[in-house]
Amino acid sequence: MRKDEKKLLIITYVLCIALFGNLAIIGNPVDKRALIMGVVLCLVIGYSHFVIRRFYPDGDKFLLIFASILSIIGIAMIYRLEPSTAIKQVVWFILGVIIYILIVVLLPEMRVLSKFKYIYLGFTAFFMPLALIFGTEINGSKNWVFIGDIIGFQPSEFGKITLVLYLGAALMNFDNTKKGIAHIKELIIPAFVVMASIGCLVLQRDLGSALIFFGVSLSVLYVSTSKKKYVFTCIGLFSIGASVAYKLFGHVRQRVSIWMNPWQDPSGDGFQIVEGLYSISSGGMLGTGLGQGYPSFVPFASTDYIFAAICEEFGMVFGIGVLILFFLLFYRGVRVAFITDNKFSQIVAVGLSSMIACQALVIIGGIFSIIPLTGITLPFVSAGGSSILSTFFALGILQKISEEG
Amino acid sequence: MNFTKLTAIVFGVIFIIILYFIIYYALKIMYKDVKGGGRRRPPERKKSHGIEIIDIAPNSGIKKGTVIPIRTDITIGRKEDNSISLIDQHVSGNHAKLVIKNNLLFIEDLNSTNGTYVNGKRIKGRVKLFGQDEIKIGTTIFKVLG
Repeated sequence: MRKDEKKLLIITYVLCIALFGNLAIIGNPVDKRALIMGVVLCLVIGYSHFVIRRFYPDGDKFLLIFASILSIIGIAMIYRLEPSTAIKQVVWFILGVIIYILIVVLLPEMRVLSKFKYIYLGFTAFFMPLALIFGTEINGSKNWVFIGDIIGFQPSEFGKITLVLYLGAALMNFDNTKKGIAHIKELIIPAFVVMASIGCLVLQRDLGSALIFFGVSLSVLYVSTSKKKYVFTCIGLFSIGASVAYKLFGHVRQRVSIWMNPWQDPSGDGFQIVEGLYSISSGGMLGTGLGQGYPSFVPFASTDYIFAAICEEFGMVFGIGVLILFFLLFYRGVRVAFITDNKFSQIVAVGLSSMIACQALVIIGGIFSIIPLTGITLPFVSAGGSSILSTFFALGILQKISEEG
Repeated sequence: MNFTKLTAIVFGVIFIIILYFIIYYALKIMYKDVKGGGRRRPPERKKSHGIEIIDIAPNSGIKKGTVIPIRTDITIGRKEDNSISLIDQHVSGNHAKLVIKNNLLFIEDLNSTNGTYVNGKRIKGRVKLFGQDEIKIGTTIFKVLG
């Protein structure tokens, strides 16, 4: 195990240096900033891995490595698109790693944490409507909250985590031996909380997050009850909710009609999808090479559409590799649920890892026009402070759980 | 074919090779993990832990001065299925548990009737142990080696 871990870490450094070396070469004259950035990233990854390895040897060591690889690829791509954003992104990445380590150090045991059900509920109830009341509309969805003029964040990113914690605490004592009405009594309050959260998101026009919330709640429900009938009930409720939202809200109808036929209005409504598909196809299997393509033609290339940019410049094969990395991260996360005996930890581990996986699937599916496109970030890869911090927060909790068992 | 095109292609291929090497190693680790049944094998530890019996009631079957090495979790109690079973009416059926986490030794009281004492103080829940600490369970006294 130890040997493989070392090898994996060394290849990660090699990838980091190769990426930033290439970025330095394509600059004219040679861009020293890129090289410095690569070295700084290697040091941060090496040091954080050392801390986890040395002081918390019982935990999982690969969660952080996979997250770091994804972050490196993201930062390199962002640097090629917008160098100034990339510097911010490095700062966010370092802050994220610090939060991750702080959680592992400071958080009490999960058994203790499972008692604060109503605190999680309170935080969820605070975060979810926050953007609805104080939110500022950016790019068509009202999901940003600004404190002062500069510091802005997306409350739903943090609401996701508190919701998973709440669901874990609420469903940990779910008794499978009881029947019928007793089940419904236990499930009705969590179901109401989930529905209220999704309702808030739909009103904020943050459809991507609504989809993620649904996916996470569904997997948590199935893991804690292991009854298919509740899952089908949920899907039924979701389709009713979706058709009602389709009737009521114009932006839902617009998204669906763009998804049905993006080529109807390629220079207007369908511009982003069409431009993204062109961008991916111009890269082909092996990509145009870093700095050789035109990924910045696509709107939001560094945030929502970063996967299209990666596919164009690094190639489809590399893009599939990134997807496999997400799968591996998901596998490590779910594995955490296997090694612990605490029901709360299990539910939270499954919830958080499916949150990351769901988010990746929803945005990549949207880019390839498999599902309606909804603007959310690709975890770890996309530029964005709230996204990086909240995902590392979730990863820290996963790491903490992995020490049990 | 000019120089920039060439470097772009070379680097592109290098990136793909490195990424798939990472995936290969990750899958290898995953394979070993799955073969091991997903359960964690006791990891290699640099520091070893142990407790010594300082005082114990006679006829209990365990001699004074016995050193018990701790590698995995150890349970202490009156019942037979404990790792250390003490024949003592002041000891509960499942009395206490010694746990190693992150190379540190902890003791946890399992809601025993007469309590577990560390250095004369009754403990609640899980407590970290240091070398030379004295643990009192019923009439038996252990000392932590370290």
